[in-house]
Amino acid sequence: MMEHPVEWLSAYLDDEIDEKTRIQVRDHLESCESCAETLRELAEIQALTASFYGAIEPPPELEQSVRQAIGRKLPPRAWFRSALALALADAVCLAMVWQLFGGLVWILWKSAYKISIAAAYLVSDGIGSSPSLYAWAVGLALILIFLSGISLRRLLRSETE
Amino acid sequence: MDEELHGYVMEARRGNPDAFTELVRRFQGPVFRYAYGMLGDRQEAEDAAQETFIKAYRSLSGLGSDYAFASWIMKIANHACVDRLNRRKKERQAVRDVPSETADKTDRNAEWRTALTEAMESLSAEHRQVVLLHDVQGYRYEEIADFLRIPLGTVKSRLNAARLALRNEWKKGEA
Repeated sequence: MMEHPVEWLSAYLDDEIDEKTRIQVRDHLESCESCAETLRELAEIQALTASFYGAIEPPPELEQSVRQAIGRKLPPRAWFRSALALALADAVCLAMVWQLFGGLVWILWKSAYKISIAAAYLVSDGIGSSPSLYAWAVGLALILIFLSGISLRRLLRSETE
Repeated sequence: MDEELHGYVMEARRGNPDAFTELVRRFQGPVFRYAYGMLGDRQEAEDAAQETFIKAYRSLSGLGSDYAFASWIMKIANHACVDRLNRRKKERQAVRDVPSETADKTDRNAEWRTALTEAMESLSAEHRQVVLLHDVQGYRYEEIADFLRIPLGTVKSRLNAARLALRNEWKKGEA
């Protein structure tokens, strides 16, 4: 006869045991009152646990609190999807505009490019000829870089919140 | 998994908050019961359940398959509970709460309920996990092994040891 199969009792109770061992445990239980009693107690504990915890109801406000919390946060997937849709719409609009006014836009763009190059030479000559104006321009550039940094940081922070 | 549930999971993954609310409605019971069993405290269980659903909503894109939602949400709940238990251990706070259902001594079942919750609290977190997953959530041994990433033999021995410990604590309570 099998030794007291205490380590198999739970699996026997749950029917999670191979056939050969199940028969051995069953035969042992028929002749061992101590193991049969342990099995009865385990079954009772299992039933009590299932009935007690199974009857626990979640608080009624849980659903509402989750709803409120997720209402403030779009899932990344949805955000990505809307951003992608926006980018695609932009690309389509741009292609249509280019199809209709491409030639004109190209002429305007070339003219604007030439004018801006000439203006850049003119401004750099002007700034270079006066040291005080040069210092002002450098200072202004530094201030603009600093302000851009701050605004970029704020923008990134508001995105992550 | 029924098709209706599958539809809600797909809609929620597309970013529909109403579909996700439906999923919360359907899974708040199992998630809360598991959290309550693990933490033994209603307020903490509510916080853990809320945290579970918010995490799930924010990481729906990480869900491998729409059909795996039930075990996926329970895994998030399990992580939330284990994190809280670890924090509790670190803070060395002996949190013990008698739930409102068990506090009423005029209830003739109050004594065994108190004895049961106390016996559950005496178990290790690993033992509580297997008892709750099997006896309350209805998982099979193989599913528990997959859920906790432990061998099948460990599930068997852990559940057996957990139930024997529960029985011993229960008997102490009765004595």
